[in-house]
Amino acid sequence: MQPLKKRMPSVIAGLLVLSLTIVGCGTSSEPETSPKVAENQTTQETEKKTEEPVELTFYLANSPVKDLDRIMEAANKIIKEKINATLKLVVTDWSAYPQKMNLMISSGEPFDLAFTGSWGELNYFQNASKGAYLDITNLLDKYAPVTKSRVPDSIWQGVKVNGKIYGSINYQVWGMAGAKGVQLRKDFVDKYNFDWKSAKTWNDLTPFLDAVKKGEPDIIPWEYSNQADNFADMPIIYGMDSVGDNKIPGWIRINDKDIKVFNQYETEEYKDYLKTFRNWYVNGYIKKDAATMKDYLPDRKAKRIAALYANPYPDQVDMPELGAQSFMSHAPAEDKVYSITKRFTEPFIPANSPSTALVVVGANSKHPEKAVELIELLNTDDALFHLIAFGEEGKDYKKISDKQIEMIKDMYNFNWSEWELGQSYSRMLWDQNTNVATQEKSLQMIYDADKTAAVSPVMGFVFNSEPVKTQIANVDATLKEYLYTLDSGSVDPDKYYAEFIDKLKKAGADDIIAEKQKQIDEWKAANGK
Amino acid sequence: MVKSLKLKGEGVISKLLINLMFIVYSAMCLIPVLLVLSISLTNEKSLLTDGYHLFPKEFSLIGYQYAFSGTTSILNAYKITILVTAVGSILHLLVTSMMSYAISRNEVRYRNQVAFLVFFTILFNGGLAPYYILVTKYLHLKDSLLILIIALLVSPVHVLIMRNFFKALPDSIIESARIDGSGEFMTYFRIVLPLSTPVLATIGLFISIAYWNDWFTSALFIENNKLYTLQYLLQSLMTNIQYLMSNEQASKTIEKSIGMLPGESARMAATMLSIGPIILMYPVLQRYFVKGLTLGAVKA
Repeated sequence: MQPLKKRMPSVIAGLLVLSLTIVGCGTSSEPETSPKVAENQTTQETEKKTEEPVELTFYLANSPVKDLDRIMEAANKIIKEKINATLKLVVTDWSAYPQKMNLMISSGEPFDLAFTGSWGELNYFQNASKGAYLDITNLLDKYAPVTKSRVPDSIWQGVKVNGKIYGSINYQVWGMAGAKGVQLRKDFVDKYNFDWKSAKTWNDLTPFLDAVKKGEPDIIPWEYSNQADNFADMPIIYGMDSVGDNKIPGWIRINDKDIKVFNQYETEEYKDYLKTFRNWYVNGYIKKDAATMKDYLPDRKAKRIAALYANPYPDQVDMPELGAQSFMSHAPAEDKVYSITKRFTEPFIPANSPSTALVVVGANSKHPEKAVELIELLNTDDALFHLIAFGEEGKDYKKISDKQIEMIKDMYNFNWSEWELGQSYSRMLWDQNTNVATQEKSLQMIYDADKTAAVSPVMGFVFNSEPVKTQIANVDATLKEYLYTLDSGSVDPDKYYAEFIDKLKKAGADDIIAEKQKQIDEWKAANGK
Repeated sequence: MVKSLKLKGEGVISKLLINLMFIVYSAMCLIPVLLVLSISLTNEKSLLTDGYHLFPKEFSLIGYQYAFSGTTSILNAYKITILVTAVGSILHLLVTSMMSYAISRNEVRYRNQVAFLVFFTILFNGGLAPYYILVTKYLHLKDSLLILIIALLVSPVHVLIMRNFFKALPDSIIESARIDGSGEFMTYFRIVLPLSTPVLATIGLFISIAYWNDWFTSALFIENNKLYTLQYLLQSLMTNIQYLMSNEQASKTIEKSIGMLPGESARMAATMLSIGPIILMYPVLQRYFVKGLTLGAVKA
């Protein structure tokens, strides 16, 4: 003990030195930025043709990516040569990303590019109207013509805020037009001779589910999950579209020219839905704990699901040859669990679909023109896009054919998040389990539908929830209490439905609907609809 | 146990009961950990078909293989975490104890006002956005190791506990040190700290676990993957799945991304790896607990 006590001061001193070195290390990695630049000065700085390439930061969400540094080095060679800039890709994990971005925005921290959307707290519309992003309407025309021209004009309407475009649409490989429907396990459909082609509503599935229930003891006939509620998250199945958040009261009918907002929970469609699902639950087609089950993956991976909702467009009526390559969601690929897909609806573009994946330019970006040039480069330079999305050929993946690759295990992997980088529209490389010809054909169908599909009557309308914030919070609480137990059929609607509606009204559902109506009317008047 | 059975009749039953209670309680604490361990050593397919068991039905190390070959190097995250925990805990003890000692001494003027300022922060804080702005815009500590340490450097609750402990030290010891010619620092390092091992050990345990488990600071301020901490990696493994699942309908491609995420056994393997070293802190420091936590109560 004695010697230690004597050495105490030197131990402390050592610690202080250590901490100082850490301080040194920590601050030296700070980029040399001068935070004193005023916001209005930034755009005045003309792009000097200097030797120094500009560094652009691009924030996106992803699971951790291995070997990112190696890939970025190769990518930066291309970017430097093409537009004299370098790209710093900042990857944040999914769960923290929305919060991080919102913090960066509220603190005014500069960023050049970021991925965003109108779902999962990403708040594209709110942030755009707050002035967090740069208005890129003219910059797109000037610096990113190809990016602009790939997307139909009707779809650009869906990302405008006050008539200006704030985000470049990452036109995805799956296009925009979607349809909702179901996915059925093929072996059961064949076994029980179910006439799947004529199924158009949930009710039509009842005989199939019943046969599966009676004949297959270990199988769950229908997957209900509160992550994708079969009513509240799928307005299109009932010929409706949501205004703002899906679950909050106040939907519209897609063929309604007057755009009347109503409470979707008071419609006949909802009552019918409840009857059907209550019946399914009582008969045991739905898991007993479906209302509270958060993790649906185990059941899907264990091939226990006979039927579930899907977004099938085209389905197997449109394209019978799809049968050879559509599998049940998340069933192990090597088991080849074939599925049959059938859509219930016509191709339709909901109001929130264009804003699913966007790249925005930060309002405080020092190089907005370069940033938009980079958007264009990512969207047009296939070699660059493939490099970041899949890695280096030969090292991270093997080419099987022109459009097909095989990923090499344990190497660089972007976790199939290429849709955050840019437009993957017709630029994807497919993995070895895909039938490329069929895939291309079905995509062509989707892209054609994108030009002709019905568009939501509220496309381009953005609901500002600020005036009814309290009511929305109260309604949210009521929904959490009732919605999933009712929608999964766990409780008797005869007993609880009236109570649910009553509680919604007390929580202020009618105020929300009135507010939505008011804003839509103003928007209609302003846009001459 | 055996000895206690030799005691007189009445004591035996109560002793048995007490022991039994603690055996049951310990089992309740241990079984979940064992279950996680077992899941991490089970083949993913067998998990899906047979469910969870306390002993792996089909033994496999795939989960650990994934964790080590996975996306960013776990070993590097270990290094960062251990460094931050070690340096952070020692600095935390030093800074916190100095502050507590100062406001526990009667001869320090305005000590109560200073103490009030410290405790005020327990009840009120600026909120997340100002905190973020302070760190990034004024301190420029984004993406540095230092922020991981500074974020937890002083905790007002710990100051409170320590101050009460120091107050309980007899003044006469400190006075006699002063008469013998010891300066303030000498007194503090040579007399006060050695007398305070219980409270130092207790707070040391608290704070080292807090440093070890801190993922939020990384999530906010760390962008360089070489500085990721273990818990942040683990957190992203766990919560990415949740987040993507709840937004699956947002995009057809999300379904594909979900398929890329690790399975149950890989996640549990990461969990096991992350509790590894810190779990050893408990047996070492546990005996100081009782003594350290009595907040200014009279000690025998």
